[in-house]
Amino acid sequence: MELFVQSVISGVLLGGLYAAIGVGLSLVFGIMGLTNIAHGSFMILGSFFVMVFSRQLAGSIVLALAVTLAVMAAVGALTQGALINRVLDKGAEPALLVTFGIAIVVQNILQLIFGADFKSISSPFASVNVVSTKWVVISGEYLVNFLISAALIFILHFIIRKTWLGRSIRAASGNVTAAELMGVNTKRTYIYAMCLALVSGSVGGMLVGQTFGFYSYSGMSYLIIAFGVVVIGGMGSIVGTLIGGVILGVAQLLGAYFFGPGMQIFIGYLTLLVILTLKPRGLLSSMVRK
Amino acid sequence: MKGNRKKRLLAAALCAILVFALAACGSSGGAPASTDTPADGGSAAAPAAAGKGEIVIGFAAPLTGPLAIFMGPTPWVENICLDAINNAMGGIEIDGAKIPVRVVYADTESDSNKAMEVATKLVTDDKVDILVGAWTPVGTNPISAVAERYEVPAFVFGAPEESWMEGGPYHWAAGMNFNYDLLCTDVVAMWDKLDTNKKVGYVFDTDVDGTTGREVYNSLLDGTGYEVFDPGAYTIGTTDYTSIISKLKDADCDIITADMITPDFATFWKQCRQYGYIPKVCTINKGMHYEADVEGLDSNGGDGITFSSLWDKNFPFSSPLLGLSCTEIADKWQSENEGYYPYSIGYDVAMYDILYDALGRAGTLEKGAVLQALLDTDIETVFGGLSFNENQCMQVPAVATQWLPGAEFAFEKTVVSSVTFPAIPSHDPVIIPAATQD
Amino acid sequence: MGQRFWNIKTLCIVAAVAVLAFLPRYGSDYAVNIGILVFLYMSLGQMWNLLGGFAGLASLGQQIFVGLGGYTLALVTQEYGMGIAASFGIAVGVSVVFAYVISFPIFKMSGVYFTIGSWIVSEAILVFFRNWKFVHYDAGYNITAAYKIPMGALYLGALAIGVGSIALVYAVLRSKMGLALMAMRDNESAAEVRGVRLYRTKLFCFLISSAYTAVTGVVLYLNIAYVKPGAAFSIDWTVCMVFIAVIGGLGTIEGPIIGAVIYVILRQYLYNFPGISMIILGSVAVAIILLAPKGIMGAIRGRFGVELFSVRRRVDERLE
Repeated sequence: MELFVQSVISGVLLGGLYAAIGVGLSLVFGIMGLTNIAHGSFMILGSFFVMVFSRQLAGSIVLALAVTLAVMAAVGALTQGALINRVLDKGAEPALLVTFGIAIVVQNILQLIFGADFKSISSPFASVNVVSTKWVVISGEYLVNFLISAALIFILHFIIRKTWLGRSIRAASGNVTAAELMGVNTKRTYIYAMCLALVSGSVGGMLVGQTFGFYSYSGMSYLIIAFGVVVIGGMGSIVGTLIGGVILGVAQLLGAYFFGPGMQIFIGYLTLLVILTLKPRGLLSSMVRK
Repeated sequence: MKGNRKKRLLAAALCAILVFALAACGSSGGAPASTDTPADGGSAAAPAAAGKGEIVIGFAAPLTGPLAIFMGPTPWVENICLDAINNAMGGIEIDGAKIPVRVVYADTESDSNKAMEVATKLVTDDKVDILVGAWTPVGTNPISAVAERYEVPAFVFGAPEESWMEGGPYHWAAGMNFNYDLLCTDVVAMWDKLDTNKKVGYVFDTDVDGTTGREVYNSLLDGTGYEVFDPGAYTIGTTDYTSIISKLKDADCDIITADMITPDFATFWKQCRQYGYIPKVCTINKGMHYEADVEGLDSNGGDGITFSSLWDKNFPFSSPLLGLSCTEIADKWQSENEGYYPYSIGYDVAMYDILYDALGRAGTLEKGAVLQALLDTDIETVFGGLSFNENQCMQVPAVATQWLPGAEFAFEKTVVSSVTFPAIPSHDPVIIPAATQD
Repeated sequence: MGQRFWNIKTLCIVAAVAVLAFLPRYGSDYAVNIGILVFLYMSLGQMWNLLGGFAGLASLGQQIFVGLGGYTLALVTQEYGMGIAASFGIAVGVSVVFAYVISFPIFKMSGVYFTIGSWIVSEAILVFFRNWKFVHYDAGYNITAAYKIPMGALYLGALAIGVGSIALVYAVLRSKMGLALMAMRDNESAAEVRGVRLYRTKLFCFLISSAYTAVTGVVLYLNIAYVKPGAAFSIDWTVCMVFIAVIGGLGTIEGPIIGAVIYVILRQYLYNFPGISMIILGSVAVAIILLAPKGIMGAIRGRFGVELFSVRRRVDERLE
């Protein structure tokens, strides 16, 4: 029984981290209908930046993250402006292949520079337990991950719903022609969206770097988690991503609880597929596209 | 009508181009593009114009991807070994004339499909004299298959003998591998030296090492007073180990034996401590071979964990080619590179020792003779005396070793049990310090 | 009729196949090896193109069927000691049944949801195989029966697979269903209004493509001779299919041929630059798409209007 309660609590908190990994992807899909295969690699790029900057900035994670976010926003603008914008209107498959190409290039350049060693970002909360009873343990790290993710999602939700930027993003994601007639520069809006996606992705990257550690090629294994979270939440739905993350996290841990540790990941995928069969557009699909 | 004919002609031309493209890539096989090697050691000696004029070793290696960590010291070892062979010794005598050795690399990308593809390219395009493949069954097994298919001598290393032999028996492939039975025997001998409740918890993934480890430990521990607790195998890439940890904690296991890749273990071990479960002994195979891995565990978590080391600077052996002892090789590496010496140096040096010796005895590049000379090998190298058993495999040591805080580096390793290779000196292990703090 | 059948194009194609069939006689081992890879990868590309280029099913899960083919071969030869030939039939059976079963959930999804849903299915299968005792968990198999296959025979098998894939796609597109596919590709809702049974047509394409991908998988693993879940069900297979289909030209039969030749030769050339080969490969893919978003065949068609395999029906040539 303790294990059941513990599994649910850990699953929910882990789900918060999954949501942080996926939310940028959801944004990019909802706005420009792009299946961004490079998202995972960009996330790991963010992890590397945080690691490097925190070494140079006297170990301050907050400062390192701030610098990383600025750099990643620039990377996003460059990628979107120079590469992805040029193929977006040519159909889904060319854009898919371009993001594949970017993913491969990014992860191999990272390996060339940083080598193949295991990397991690030290976390001040790693060995702090918030609740530590005989029944239930809540680790500070998981709780902080969840809170940061929730904050990230709230901020993104606020940006999309309440700001000028969000209005033009929503306009561009609805009807491209109408938006352009109304004076919205859709390509520029896409650039902003990609910046936001990479910024949120690097927050996810930092959390992953602290919680699990990473290699240059880890991006692909987190990408499938990101996709899973985003599709059950409903692509383009920011809040749906959080729900999707929690569902996946709890499904995995309860899968291990009921069927043994070997089934943990499998039950996670199975749950995703069952939900998608019942709700083929995800649970909360606010921005309907295609 | 005219436009139509034009189109047809163009179509025919297109068709012809396709055929020629294929034919062209066939003929280009004869004149391969210049091949870069990560290190320049081989280029010191100019290749002779007549005949082949050089010995080509084709190394299908995981230069990128998850297994690339094994390749860290390879260019450095290649430099010093090829320098010794080509410059100090003046090459290897083949058909009466001394010719230099060159190593051609091909990147397997840590993927068994690519490993086969690049090994085939090395054999058919680069026409290598010996094929070398390395690190885990992903590296050794497909390359051995290529050797059998094209009938070229191959030397593969760095995988458990048991899983390499799944693809055997081999005729053209020879291996330099550790044996799981011996590895586990040493680990159990190490546990015997420690004061525990003799309850052993398994944390094995479903990969070949994990499944082999479970079988071997089960048979070794049967009737020895150890009690085994198995929460079930997990899948590589699992991010949360709540279920396994609470079962091990409930079973009150003082000993954990795990077979996990580095990121999985780092996550697992951190979560163990978050759940307040610190066993007295944690033996982790596969994931904690490098000092960087151990340092990557947060808040000093690496203190006292044990693993099976495949090479150590305190091995009382030396390399005949380099004329250096194990300690001297490791110190040389540390003085010329950053960080603690990686154990894969031992394997790389032994490979050059063995190939230099075998090619010298063969005296020819005829494939059957090279293979025979290789199989006749009986050499003293950085692993001690090595020769091939009936599986065409050299068994190299895998001795129980412990990571402890060091003087020069954050962690340094000490051999703590070597009953299977008694020539190697060993110390007494200690219980994980954090386990005794409360 | 006879004149139409034996036109220049057909003759060229027959001649090309005949020339290629004799490659093992005059070509080096390396040429034979490259030929094998080109034909097999082309077959993978053709089958992905049938889905992504014609049926509007951009799948990221076709590696399932490569893996099923490889595992069928391994189990048939290593566990049951049957001949290699048996694995082709079993692979077709297994993959058709499996494709049919997973079509229920994943055909409910459309567009990008289908793309990602198919990838999730494939990851689930990968994890399942890693935990399945029947297939030795994650340990995989050495297909020792494949060590001693003469490369000439393997080459002819690969050639047959490659030519067969072209013939299959051509036959599908020239059939009544091909018309429906064209209509769907151009405008899905309009096609449905005009009576095209979308679901059935897509399902049929999915089954054909999956079965033939599995057959190709069998031959691929005859060549590789070592099958492991992580490699057999790797997304890399589908990445290479997408590369071949999109670089060559999506929605054309010639595209995957060109794409496969480029992909295989480029990879072989890049093996000479270990460590940075993937960076170059990725950059080349991006560059080609930026220069020719419709792929190489798309660009050629746009400029010259040439088609080697015309799937268009002409009303009557005399009318021109």
